[in-house]
Amino acid sequence: MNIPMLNRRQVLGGAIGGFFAYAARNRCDQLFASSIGDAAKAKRCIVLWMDGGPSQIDTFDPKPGKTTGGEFQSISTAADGVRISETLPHIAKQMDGLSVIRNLSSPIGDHQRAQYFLHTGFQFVQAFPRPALGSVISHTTTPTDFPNYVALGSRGFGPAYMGPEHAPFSIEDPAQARQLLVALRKRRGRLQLLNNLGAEFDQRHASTLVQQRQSMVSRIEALASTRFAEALDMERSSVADRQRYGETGFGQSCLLARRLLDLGVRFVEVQLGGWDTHANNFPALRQLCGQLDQPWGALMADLKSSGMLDDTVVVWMGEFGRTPRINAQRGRDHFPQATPVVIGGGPFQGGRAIGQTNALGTEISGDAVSVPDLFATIMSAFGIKPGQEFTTDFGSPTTATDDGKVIQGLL
Amino acid sequence: MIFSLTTAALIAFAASSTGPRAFPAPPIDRSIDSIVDQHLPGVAGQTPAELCSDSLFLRRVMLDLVGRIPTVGELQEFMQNPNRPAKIDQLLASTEHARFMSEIWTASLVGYSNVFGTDREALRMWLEKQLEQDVPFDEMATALITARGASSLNGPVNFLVRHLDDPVVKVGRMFLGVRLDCAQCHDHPFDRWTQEDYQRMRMFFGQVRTPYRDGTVFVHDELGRASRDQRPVFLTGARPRTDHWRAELALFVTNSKPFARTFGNRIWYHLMGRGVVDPIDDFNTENPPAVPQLVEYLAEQSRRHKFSIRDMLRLICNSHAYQRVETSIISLESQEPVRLRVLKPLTPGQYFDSIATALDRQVTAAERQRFVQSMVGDVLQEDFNPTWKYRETVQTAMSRLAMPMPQLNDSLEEIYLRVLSRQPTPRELELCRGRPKADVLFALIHSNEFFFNH
Repeated sequence: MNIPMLNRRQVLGGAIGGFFAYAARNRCDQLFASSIGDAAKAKRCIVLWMDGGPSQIDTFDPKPGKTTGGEFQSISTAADGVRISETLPHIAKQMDGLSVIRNLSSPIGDHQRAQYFLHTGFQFVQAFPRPALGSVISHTTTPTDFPNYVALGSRGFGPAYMGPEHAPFSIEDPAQARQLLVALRKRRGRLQLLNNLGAEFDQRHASTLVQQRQSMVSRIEALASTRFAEALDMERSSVADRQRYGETGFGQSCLLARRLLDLGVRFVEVQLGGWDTHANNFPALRQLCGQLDQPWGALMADLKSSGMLDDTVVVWMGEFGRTPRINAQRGRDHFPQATPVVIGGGPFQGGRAIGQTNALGTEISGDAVSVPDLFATIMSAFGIKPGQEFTTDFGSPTTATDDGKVIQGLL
Repeated sequence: MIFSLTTAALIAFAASSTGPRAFPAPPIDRSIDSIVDQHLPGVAGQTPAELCSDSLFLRRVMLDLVGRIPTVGELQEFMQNPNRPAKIDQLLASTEHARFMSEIWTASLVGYSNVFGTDREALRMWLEKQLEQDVPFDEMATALITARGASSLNGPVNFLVRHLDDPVVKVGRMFLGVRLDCAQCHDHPFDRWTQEDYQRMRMFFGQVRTPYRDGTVFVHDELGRASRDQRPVFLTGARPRTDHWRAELALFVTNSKPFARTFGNRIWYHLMGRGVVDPIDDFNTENPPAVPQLVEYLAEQSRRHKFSIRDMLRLICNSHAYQRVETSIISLESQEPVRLRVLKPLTPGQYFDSIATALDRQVTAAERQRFVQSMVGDVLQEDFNPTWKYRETVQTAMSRLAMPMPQLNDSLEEIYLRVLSRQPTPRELELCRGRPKADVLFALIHSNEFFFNH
């Protein structure tokens, strides 16, 4: 349907009814109401973010024996015909639940812009901030007293027009975050005094801003009363769990992520940094894959055995891939032309390899998929259609993805 | 942490400060008020609000000009001699003023974080120097548009570095109040700018080269021949006569009427919290000014004062429009009262400095930096708003509320003066009775009365 562009003077001149119809048609919540429910299969999403850009050849698109292949052999996995790097033995056992995308190509080789692109699905345009995937997915659920976009080990990306209630709740140190919540619980009396003393000013200056800030206190009181703080308390997890996930920072973050998903948090991102291996790629990759393999394997095993994998989307990605060519420092440089992604859970089939690169890994053979395609695919699991319209806070309507198409091979 | 002031003395001077006061006899330009007064609700049979009390005036003007609340000492001194024009002059001449305004301008020019190799601090230091010397804003704009050199060495270069992907969009919003970004994808629905206008404007930066080495961006121009349709054209249709396109653009921009209007409106926005045209970077036919005559007057004064930021601040701070308890006018469009001056959330810097002032604490630059970053977060790094807006998340509010409060020996009256620059009311004294001092301090520091400039 074509929506006629209304000019503001016309609206004020009497076309008020038309204006409201226009506004109503563009309200996101309304759009969601019609599309969520039947189509949505997934309830939760976890993204394992490999900051710096992980090498595809040394992880999920191995080229053993080739000049570009590097130092690692490939191994067979639980998925027929899908081979991955020998550095990921635990993940190999879980590949029946995960599919590898080998033909994702992106034009952006700069860290900051590529991180933005792979977090929002849109290329960075200063004048038009885009919400992070976590904010969009947080927005697909009814509001809860705890945050629905949690970033572990990073600050996450902004909510843009989705609004501050869908901003990432970022946790560097869970123990500290828990202490903060517990401390605020104890400050109940103070918060009460704050409300009482402030009441007069707040009434006299009633405005959206004042109300927003005032309601923040009650939101925090509500958050402090949920089990969010208990989920952050790693002491409450079993010793066996902690050992299975590995006593490393990333391992404990993965365990925490699982506890948050158990609680009902909609979207969790866990970051593992250090993948920008311009020099000494191979010892670094052996070490990084070592950090990644066991916790991710444990996470997959837990999601599978609890049945949660059926409605939890798991995504592994970073901002780009790395060059097949090995440089003079034994490193690999930025290579967005082949950006590795692994995806599973929810409506997505495991055990597949989507697309392929040529023998040396220097080019994608056949069709490529784009970053917007990836975002269309992930969002579709949450009942968001790629062309679905949102209205920004500055009034401009926009679509959920930048002309993305769902990757059919994953369904 | 104990004041030399006695409670009795405090009460004495604060009591004398309540209620409205007559404005001191003017050697002052009243033109703003003669324009605004025509639109006051008084005309429609209501009484316009009176001027605010001296203590509220001091809090307001110090937040706006030096970025923090007054100390109890400063408050006491002003109450003894409440000469508003003299106070405005004194604040404008202070080093604190240049420092504070440099932060405000830095935030408008490049936002709150160092993205894409921007060296914010280098830019801020350059701005502080310009502001100290009251360099005319058209000269500053020219320097920002034409800057070249290394981002870490030459402050103004960072304006361009921050907006490298499309500098002309920011130049349009910042200096002309025009949103060319809409024309990036489609012809502007409400205005005459087309995609072609945008493409031609964009060419002004077509010669810019920006190699990046070791954390520094080097900005320079590569002058060369270009065919006629590759040459830039200004929005007015004017074409550069030389090969120095950026210099030509700066000249076109700073000599244009929109430049003066946007400048005057921006200073007004800083003080009043709302532009006469609002948003301030969106002048277009469908977004008319609240008071058309006022935009023109401010533009005219901007030119007359040779784009001196300080003169414009002085002009507006001395107006009744600025000094009333609240200033509402009758809107031309809706015939309803609208606020000309609105509640302003403190910027992270203002908030931090005001807390430090209230608690009488010495703080380090690193502490301040951490606080500002926690309040802004990377979450806003893509923020394109003219200045900071209140967008606190649950998380930043939590860390704020968990801030430890110092132990004080002050009386309740003293705590109120420290934090809110006023006496507590009897009701407030009643509510605070028997509560620990730290709880009262907590409640006041986190109150909206403290957090907003009102």
